[in-house]
Amino acid sequence: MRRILLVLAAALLAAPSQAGELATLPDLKADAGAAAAVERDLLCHGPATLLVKGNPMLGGDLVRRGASRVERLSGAPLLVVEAESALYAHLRASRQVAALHRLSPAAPRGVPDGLRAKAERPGGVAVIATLAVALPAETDEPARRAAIAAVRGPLLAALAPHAPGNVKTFDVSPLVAMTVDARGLDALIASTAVCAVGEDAVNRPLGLP
Amino acid sequence: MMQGWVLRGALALAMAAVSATAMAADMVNLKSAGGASAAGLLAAKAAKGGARVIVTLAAEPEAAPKGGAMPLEDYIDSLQTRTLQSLGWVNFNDIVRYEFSPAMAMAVDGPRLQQLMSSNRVAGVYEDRMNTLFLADSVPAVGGAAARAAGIGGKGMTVAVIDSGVDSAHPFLKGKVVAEACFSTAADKAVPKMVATCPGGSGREIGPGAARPCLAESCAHGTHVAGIVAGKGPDFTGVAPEAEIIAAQVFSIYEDPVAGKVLGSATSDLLRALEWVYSLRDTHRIAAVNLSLGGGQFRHPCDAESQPYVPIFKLLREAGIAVVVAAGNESFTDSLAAPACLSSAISVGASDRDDAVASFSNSANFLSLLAPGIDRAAGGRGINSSVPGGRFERMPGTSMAAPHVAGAFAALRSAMPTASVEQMLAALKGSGKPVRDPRNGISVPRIQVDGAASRLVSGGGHAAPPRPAEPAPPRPAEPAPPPPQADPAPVPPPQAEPPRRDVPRKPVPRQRPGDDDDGIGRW
Repeated sequence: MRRILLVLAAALLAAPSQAGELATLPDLKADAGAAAAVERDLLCHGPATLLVKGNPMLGGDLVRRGASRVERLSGAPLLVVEAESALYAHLRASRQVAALHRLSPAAPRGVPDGLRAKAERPGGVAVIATLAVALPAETDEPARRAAIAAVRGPLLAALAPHAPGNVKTFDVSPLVAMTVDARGLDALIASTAVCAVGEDAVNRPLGLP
Repeated sequence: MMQGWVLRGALALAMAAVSATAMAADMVNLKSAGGASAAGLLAAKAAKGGARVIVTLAAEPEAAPKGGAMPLEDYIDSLQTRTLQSLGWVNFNDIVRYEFSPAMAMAVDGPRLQQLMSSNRVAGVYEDRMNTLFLADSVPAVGGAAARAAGIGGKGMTVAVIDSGVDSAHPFLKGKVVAEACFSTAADKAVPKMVATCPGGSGREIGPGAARPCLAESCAHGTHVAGIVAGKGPDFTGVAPEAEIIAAQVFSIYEDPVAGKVLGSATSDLLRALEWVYSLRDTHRIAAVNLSLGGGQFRHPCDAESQPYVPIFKLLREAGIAVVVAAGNESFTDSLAAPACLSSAISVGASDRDDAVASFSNSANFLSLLAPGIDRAAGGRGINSSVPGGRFERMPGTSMAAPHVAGAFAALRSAMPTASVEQMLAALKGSGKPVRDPRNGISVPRIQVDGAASRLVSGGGHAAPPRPAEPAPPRPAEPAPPPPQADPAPVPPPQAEPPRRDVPRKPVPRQRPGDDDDGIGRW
């Protein structure tokens, strides 16, 4: 996969006719919406492959900052970087970076079968959303609680127009549970603060009659 | 005119009949329409050399003298004699004649069973099954009694029972419940409608009385589970009778238009309870959380599909708390229910006293352990344990197997307070008796608490290297556990009791796994 991405990046640069395709990839330094979606994917699914346009000497610094892979494309001021969320934030903020693109495909945002149909019923559907949070170490519980609350608060504020019911919050698990209607479910799925949405399933006692 | 004996006799006979019926309430009348298959089985047993039966007798007003009162016992004696005479069994010796119940017990061969079945003086024929206090058997069977005799009974340890609530006033559990909470959901407009079952009517209550058993069918479940973990009575005990209980009630009543009112726990309520238990980790020495609940079917470890459980299961395990989960009762041979299917859960299937896997028990090649969950010898009935109201009842299921394991963790942790979950699990797997499930060929260790304690304290609690897999068509089996210790080394008593908590509780200094490796085998 990495090889394919490298070849893709090289091809984009080598062939002037395809250079336009590079321009179709959102510049994550300029497009806040696309940047937020990438950040969510990094938090939820782990590192992504990025194409960095900027100072070619940046590579050494990125390795020191923990990049698992940095490859310089010959003949161009371009780097292919495997980055997690902290490094991504650095790249977005760095003045050494002129443009930033995601090469690896966006993570699929699947919703369990039938969930939307249930949301359309009277009373809506009970769901559990997994929050996109950069969790501190397990041993730092106050920081963990604060990180979760910092993501949860704005999410609930954004969902307020959809009047979610039975909102249940969690202190150390990056989760929030609620009952939503179809519009609320769509808003939840679209939110960059949410990794995944699943039904709040029922558990039965496992003693036999 | 109603005569005196009829007044006394009818009343007494009615009572006796009720008594006889109650005696046989969970038994099948072989003369009834529903008893045909059981009758066939019993006939086969009788033909092979004899079967024991209980016979209830039809009422016969003519058996009583005309006029005057008659003591009940005389009337019943008359009924018994007339029945035996009609059968031609006057000189039949091996008969138990009850004094106040219109019934008799006896051993019969095939022809005699046929006579009973066709007699119009016989109201019912029931197999005279052996009834035992199976918790009294299952705990010794898994080495719990031997471990306790060696001073390893969970003293100073706590097990969290997240279930339908616990009757803290039950004599079997008296003084054991040290923290309580309830997490339940009310949703009037939802389909199905949900009704919260917390005592105060809200969806979240914490404090004494909060985990009172819910008021619906199946609400005895949590008290039963808690009894298996830590019950303590004069005749028998749970696996860790010195341990204490943290009780969380997490069920709601789902008013389903088709299924009616059923008890269920929203995953979100279960997760709230798990977080609450985690928050208590510094004020109680929590050895395990028991989850005798679940649902769904997963053919592989389900961390991706059951992602909401992953963070809190990981936190609990890193805090040294084993998350023990019942495997489910759907007879799956290649899959488990959730959350037992999570890779960080310790999943438990059910076996019987003969170390056969229960037919209802889910099984898969990622099942962790087996423990008693049924008593096949007692007619397929379950484990006898506490239920609300000071009573005891039998319940079968993987629900009953899981708390045997949760109690085992408490016992092991009391033997070695510094042991990690991984070390205790390795000791349980390494010392358990391998039980092969004939349905899928997979062998899973049935726990042996004394052997595990011995293995743990002697330094054998490290994860064993993989072993060759047993054939398990159509799927490959998981590595077979090592053979059981035929004669486990004597379990040494704990060197030092873990400190007891004072009231009010103070934070207990915690020792995380790996903090003190010298603790292994330092007895």
